[in-house]
Amino acid sequence: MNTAPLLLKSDCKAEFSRQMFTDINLDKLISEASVKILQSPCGKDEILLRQEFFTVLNNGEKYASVEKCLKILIEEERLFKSWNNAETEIEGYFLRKQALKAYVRSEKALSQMTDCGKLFFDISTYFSAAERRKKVIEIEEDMKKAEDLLRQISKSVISFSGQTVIAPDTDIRSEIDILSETAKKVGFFLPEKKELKPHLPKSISDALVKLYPSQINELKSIFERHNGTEFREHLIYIPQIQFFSEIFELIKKAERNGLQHCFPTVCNERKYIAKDAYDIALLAKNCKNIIPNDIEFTEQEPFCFLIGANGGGKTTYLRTVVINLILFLSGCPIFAKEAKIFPFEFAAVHFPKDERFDESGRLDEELKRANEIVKAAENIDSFLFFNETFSGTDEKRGLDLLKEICEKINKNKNFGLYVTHFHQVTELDSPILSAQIDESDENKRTYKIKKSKGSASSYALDILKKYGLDKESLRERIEKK
Amino acid sequence: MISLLYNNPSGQCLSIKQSRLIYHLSIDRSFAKICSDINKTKYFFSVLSAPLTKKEAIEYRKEILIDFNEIDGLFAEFCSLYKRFDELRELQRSAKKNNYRINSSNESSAKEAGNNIQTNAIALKKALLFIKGFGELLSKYELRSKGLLKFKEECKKISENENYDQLIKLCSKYEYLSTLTSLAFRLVIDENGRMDEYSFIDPNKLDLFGNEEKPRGFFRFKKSEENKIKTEPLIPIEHDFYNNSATDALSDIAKTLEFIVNQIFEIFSEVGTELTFYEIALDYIRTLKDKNIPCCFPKISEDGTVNVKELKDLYLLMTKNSPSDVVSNDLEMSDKTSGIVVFGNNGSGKTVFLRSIATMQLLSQAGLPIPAKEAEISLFSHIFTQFSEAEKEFCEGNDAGRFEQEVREMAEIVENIKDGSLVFLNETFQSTAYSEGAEGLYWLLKYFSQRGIRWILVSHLTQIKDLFSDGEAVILKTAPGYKII
Repeated sequence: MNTAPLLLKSDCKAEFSRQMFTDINLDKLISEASVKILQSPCGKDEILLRQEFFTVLNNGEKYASVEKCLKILIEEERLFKSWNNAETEIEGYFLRKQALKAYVRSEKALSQMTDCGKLFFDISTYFSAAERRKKVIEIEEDMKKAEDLLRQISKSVISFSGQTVIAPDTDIRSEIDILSETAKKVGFFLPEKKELKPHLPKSISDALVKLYPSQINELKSIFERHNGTEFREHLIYIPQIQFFSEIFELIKKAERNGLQHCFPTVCNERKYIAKDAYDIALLAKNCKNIIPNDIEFTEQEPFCFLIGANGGGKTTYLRTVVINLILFLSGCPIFAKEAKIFPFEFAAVHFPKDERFDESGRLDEELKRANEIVKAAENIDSFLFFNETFSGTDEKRGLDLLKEICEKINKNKNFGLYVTHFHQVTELDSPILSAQIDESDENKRTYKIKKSKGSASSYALDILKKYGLDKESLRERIEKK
Repeated sequence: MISLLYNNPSGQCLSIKQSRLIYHLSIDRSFAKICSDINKTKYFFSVLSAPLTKKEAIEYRKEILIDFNEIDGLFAEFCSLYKRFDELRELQRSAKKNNYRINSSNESSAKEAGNNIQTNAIALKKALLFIKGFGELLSKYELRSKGLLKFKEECKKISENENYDQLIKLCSKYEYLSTLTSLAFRLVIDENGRMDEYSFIDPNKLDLFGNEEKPRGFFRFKKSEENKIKTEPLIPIEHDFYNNSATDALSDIAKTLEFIVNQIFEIFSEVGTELTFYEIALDYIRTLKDKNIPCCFPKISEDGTVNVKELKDLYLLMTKNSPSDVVSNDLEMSDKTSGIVVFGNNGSGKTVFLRSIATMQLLSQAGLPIPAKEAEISLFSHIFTQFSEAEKEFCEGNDAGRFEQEVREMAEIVENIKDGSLVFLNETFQSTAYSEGAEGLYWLLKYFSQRGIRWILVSHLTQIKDLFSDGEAVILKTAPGYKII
């Protein structure tokens, strides 16, 4: 192995769009760096490797060692950046020593990650190579020498008296130390020292270089020996480990809110089946009572319409399916009791947008986007999601466009879910899911999604009454006036 | 913080504000005869209005008062020294303001920092010398009070510390810092190549140019080349950096000195104000003595009994020509007595009696002697008064009649009263129909009794007598010659 192996590998055919993560609110739960990783779905082998690593993280000790490794790498990155931004020669020597010491720590940490699953095994093997260990020892010994040299030049005195000079340190105590010690012995408290660490000015750095020529020359030759040190080899692991750490924390947060998670079985047949799946994005709203739902898409029924009452949980259901699919395709656990999922190669969502289009109207924009998605999904195993697409036109036109898109999806043999208020879809061939309401309890929303043709109504009237916008409330307002 | 009023200053609870207490009892008028300085009496009354509730606290104050009273010259000398100490504190405060005004222009310099060192060094030296002075003063006398002995110990803890002289010497050195013509600093770089320390060192101790002659045996040799210290010229072109760093280094010293001075003021300054209390207390004792008024320090009873013999009203004592013109009365309350009602004709001495008891209680719980032959009192957590008053000002926002005013005041008392309090009521609820007033008052008094709050009522509402059951109240009445029986 000549180059450091990656922790995360992906040979995806098509990346997910960034916009998708905003549409499904997943970017409210995880960092941008993790979103970037989730944008690249994996194949079966990589999914299994990553699932294994998540299992490893369940072990408290192993999780702690991964976190510790991450901390060491982050510190190395910080010091590396600081060294590159050093303002003076002297500061540069100190920071370079620190950066090289951090490099050594990272090398050791990475080589010790032998029992953290297959993902880390290759990495630890690479960093445990004999040649590398020899190099590490050399750097360690050299840094000890460098430390000693730097200690010799770290203390000095500056005198402003006629001429201004800098000289090596003496054993004269500083006045503040004398005063503080004396006052403390008498029984007084002392103020806290403020911690300001300004950069050394160039004049002092230049003077120190001239004051300690032999130490400086020796430092230069020590550092020259390590000019080829490849810090970046370590630093690439930071966003990758952070990804695992972040998803793991998300799992913990979900657990605290009573939400189960599982590792889906990776199927060879095309299907997406899950029991009691949750929309994890609701955690971003601190939602306390998240209702689970089942998911079932198979080769026989790859595509469904979803209809039902306003505020009944349709978009939430759509998010449930999408988010868990994305997580699965990156080897992460999903939020469901159990699941079996095929490693689809592509997924896309179509959500309504604000009307701010520069050149076209809303419908044109929607149509364009929808066609782009369908085109991108040709010839690859895809799962497409539409949320009230084509609702911004008259019913007949909207329905016609809907049928056109669905034909293309079926022709491409894509999987899909289409949320709509066009109740005429119940007359089409595709299965219908509907958001259930409790008619015996004032049409209370249950947030359960089930296969059924449902009712022709969207129960919009309840929503209008709650806000005083129903017919009776509007009439009372007129009479009062 | 050291206190001569409270044995446990940090544990001192804030008392509920009682703005009319001193007024109702005419204590303000009484003490106006003793001290004419309004600011001093204002402070004195504020202490009086916050009665001490623990025996040790009262003893603490009483002992100090006795020391001040009985040891000739102690109080005067102590006050004189404290006056100068307070002047130093004021000076330091205004010097700080001036420094702030100068430095707030954001052009602080090493020179100004040096001036600050000088100012603070002088203040610290003086403050330290004052501490020594207090200790020496108190050592001259044979003190008996725990408070003054503790004060003396605190002073000696500092002035007899083996580093005390060293600290004074440092202050003396820093007094002349602004006369220095050169500066020197130690620079320490941390492991990240940043400045970790830039501290001032005495330039007089630094000899970098090898001019020193060292004696060796009988001869003197100049330092040989190899013994000369290597230096490198420094061109300080980054003026802001050097000015700021020097200012910071010198300001560290100035701030440390200031910090220490402030600690001294914090520990010792409250006593200066507290001496005002003792000044008036001593004047009070002197007045009683000058007028040949018998007085005593009451004993504190543990079981709630109150037993006072030949108590006289303070206000009458201060205003009558002769103390013998003032009639004394006794008071007895067993631990089972919830409340006392005093009836009698107008001008027969009821209010005077009430006032004398309330005043006695306040003075006792302030650690002061009372104008009685002998006394044993109980301690109460708070003292409340409600005296029937003239109708409040007819003004916007106040549309309450007299009765409503009283009801409001009683409501405030009920809202704020704590268990273990003592309430004095003078002709309360007489500004309405008597039977209604009596009934309303009865239930209030019953509420107090049920809460373990004791009360003394002066009233013309004789209907209330019939409302009390056996043992609910002790009924007293006035007799000819202003006696209460």
